[in-house]
Amino acid sequence: MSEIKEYIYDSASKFLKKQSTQALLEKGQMGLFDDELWASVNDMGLTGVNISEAYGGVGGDYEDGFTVIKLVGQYPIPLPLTETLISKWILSQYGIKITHDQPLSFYFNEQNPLEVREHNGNYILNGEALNVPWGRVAKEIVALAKCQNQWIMVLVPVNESKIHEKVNLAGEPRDSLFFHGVNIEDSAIKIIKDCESKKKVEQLYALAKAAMLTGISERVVQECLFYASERKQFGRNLFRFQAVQQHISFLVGETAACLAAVNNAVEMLQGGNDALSIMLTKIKVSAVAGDIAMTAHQLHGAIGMTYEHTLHHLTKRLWSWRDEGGNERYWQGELSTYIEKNSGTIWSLLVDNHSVRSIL
Amino acid sequence: MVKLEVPTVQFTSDQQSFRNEVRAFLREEIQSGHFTPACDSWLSGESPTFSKKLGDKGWIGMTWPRSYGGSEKSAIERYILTEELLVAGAPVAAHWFADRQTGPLLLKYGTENQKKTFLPQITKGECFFAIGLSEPNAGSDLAAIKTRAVRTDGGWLLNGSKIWSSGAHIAHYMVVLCRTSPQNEENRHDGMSQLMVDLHVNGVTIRPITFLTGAHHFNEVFFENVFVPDEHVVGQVGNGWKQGMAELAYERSGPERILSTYPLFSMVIEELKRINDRDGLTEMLSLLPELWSIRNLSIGVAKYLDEGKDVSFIASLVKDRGTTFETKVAETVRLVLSKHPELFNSKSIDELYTQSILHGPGFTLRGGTTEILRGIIAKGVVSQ
Ligand SMILES: Cc1cc2nc3c(=O)[nH]c(=O)nc-3n(C[C@H](O)[C@H](O)[C@H](O)COP(=O)(O)OP(=O)(O)OC[C@H]3O[C@@H](n4cnc5c(N)ncnc54)[C@H](O)[C@@H]3O)c2cc1C
Repeated sequence: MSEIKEYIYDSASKFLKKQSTQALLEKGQMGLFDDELWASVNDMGLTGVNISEAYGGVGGDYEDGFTVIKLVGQYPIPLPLTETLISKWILSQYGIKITHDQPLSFYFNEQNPLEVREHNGNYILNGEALNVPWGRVAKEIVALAKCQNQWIMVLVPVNESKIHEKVNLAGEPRDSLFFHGVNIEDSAIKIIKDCESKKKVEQLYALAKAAMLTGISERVVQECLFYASERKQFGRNLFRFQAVQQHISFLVGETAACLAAVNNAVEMLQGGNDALSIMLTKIKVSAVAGDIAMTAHQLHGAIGMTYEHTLHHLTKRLWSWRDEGGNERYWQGELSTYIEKNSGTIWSLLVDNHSVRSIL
Repeated sequence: MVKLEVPTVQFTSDQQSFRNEVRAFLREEIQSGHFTPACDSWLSGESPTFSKKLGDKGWIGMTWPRSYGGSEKSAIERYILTEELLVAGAPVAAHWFADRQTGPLLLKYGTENQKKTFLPQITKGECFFAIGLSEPNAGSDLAAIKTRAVRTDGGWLLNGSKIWSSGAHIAHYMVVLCRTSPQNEENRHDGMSQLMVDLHVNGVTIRPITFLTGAHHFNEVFFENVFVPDEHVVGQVGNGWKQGMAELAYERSGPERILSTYPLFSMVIEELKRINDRDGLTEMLSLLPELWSIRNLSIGVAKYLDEGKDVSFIASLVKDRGTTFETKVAETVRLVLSKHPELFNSKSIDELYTQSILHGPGFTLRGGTTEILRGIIAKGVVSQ
């Protein structure tokens, strides 16, 4: 662990653990945004990890960034921390510096990009950005758009849009933003030169969701172990029953496998060799999230089905996040494309050191 | 060879016309906006008005003797009615337990007076029952119940509490399993009795427990020196455990253990047909043989029950297999529709999917958890 990573880990985990209370999660379920908490998260530097000081960040690398993101899974807080981090990572790569502390989000969808037209030296934006995480509280979104047959990245002010509000099962905003004739500054537009960069946000989001799912699975394991040692039936603690032991070992085994996947993928991302490992990770983690949720509920019995209990705040996120950043079906398609286009054997692709990065 | 066969059932043309009649009624109700189809509607769809309508049609307690308000129809007709109601996602929760459990319990163990008093009200859709089994420390281990009743002049004084009581907030009565003599560690099932407790008398407090969706379905019910007259004891004092276990056969093998997510299943199939998604259709339809085969088992058990046969472990088996199917529906829908996110913008598919996911964990818990059922199945088949 780098020094900064250790520091971030310690302070962030203490902080998030303290903040992620039942009351906060209930506010989150109502779709509410906590300004004060956002300010504290900013003050701690959590929105600046893996961003150099020149861009207003606190430094660090992808491993540090994903450490924070995984913690947001373990101790969920209803704030767009992941989304803001990913947006800033992309913006700084394109040389755009953000000078405010407001949340950011993104919309990178190749199938349905936004559209920018040039008219007498002005840039006009149109289109709809669907399912934007935390769209309603973001000040700007980083979006993929097409401009005269060219792919561009554009920083779009959200207050210029009409917002159609939607939430996921955990109450986290997933809004659709409609843009009609919005004027965009030149400086907010960057041309995307290679195909690979078009995929970058998608990949980062997929890995972030996998890290968050894994973090929350660790938390679920903890809740289950606690309950199985606490609750007695037939004069014995639940964990004494073989059927319950099978649930526990499933939860623990799958969570360990997900953790190993995420950690390796993050390290490979840092090393610049990311495409395959991210796909494999998101597929693995998304595919097992539902079973983790169901097993945890089964182990908890009726008490876990109540609003007062924490468990549903965790499982609703498992049930939602597995579909965000591309579900396993989507990434399986991408994986097949990748395997078809690469001439190496599966084994070689899996284990050799490669410099191939492109998902194409 | 162990005996695993259940009778096969084919429907007569009269039965088919009855099915059509039920369907026509339900279509009319949906079209005139009286209800919106929902998943898991037998737990969460509480509509006293709708229950009353069914009562008026003679569709509650329809197998019971005419002298008690029933229509003396066969168990197969009742099966048809029940599955059509669930397939339509109709709001049947209010009268569900009275129709499924309390009625048969009273017919078997009740006094003449109890039958004359309660059954006709139940069949009219005017008297609802809740099930009072679980307690905070007695879930799977039901024999650990602590709620107890002591003898008093002309009846019993009840103290204790029940938890997870579905629909107790709209029910008139609860059948409470309680101790009428102290716990005997030699035989933990001894000394229990079933009392019908009026939920509106002094000493009864009903506290809502919010479900994970935020809705109110189940409750905690407290009894503080509640007087229960002798006329409200069901069957024999001390025989409560055995009577209660007999009820469970009805509870575990019905179509509600198979069809809780059916409204989602069918709506998605219709959508996939409409948009010509052949692969998606194939994938959804891979669940159809499961539905068919579990339903065959379930109807077979219904026929056995009608003939008064002992079905204990086969009933548990239907619940285990059926609830597995119910959960698979939502999981399959999720992947099939991920290709067509716009279908999720259709409000009804989205809602049915959410209901199926969020109610899903309950399917394999209520009425005996899967782990406990599997024990019963294995022991039952070994001891055969
Ligand atoms: C939606 C819903 C509605 C309900 N409605 C009613 C109602 O109307 N009336 C009513 O009385 N009750 C009702 N219940 C309660 C239900 O019957 C209980 O939830 C069930 O019996 C399990 O008890 P428990 O929740 O206390 O779990 P526990 O018994 O604490 O079990 C927790 C976990 O441990 C496992 N376990 C326990 N003992 C063993 C063992 N010996 N071997 C292996 N595994 C074991 C269980 O299978 C489960 O996975 C309802 C429950 C739900 C979820």
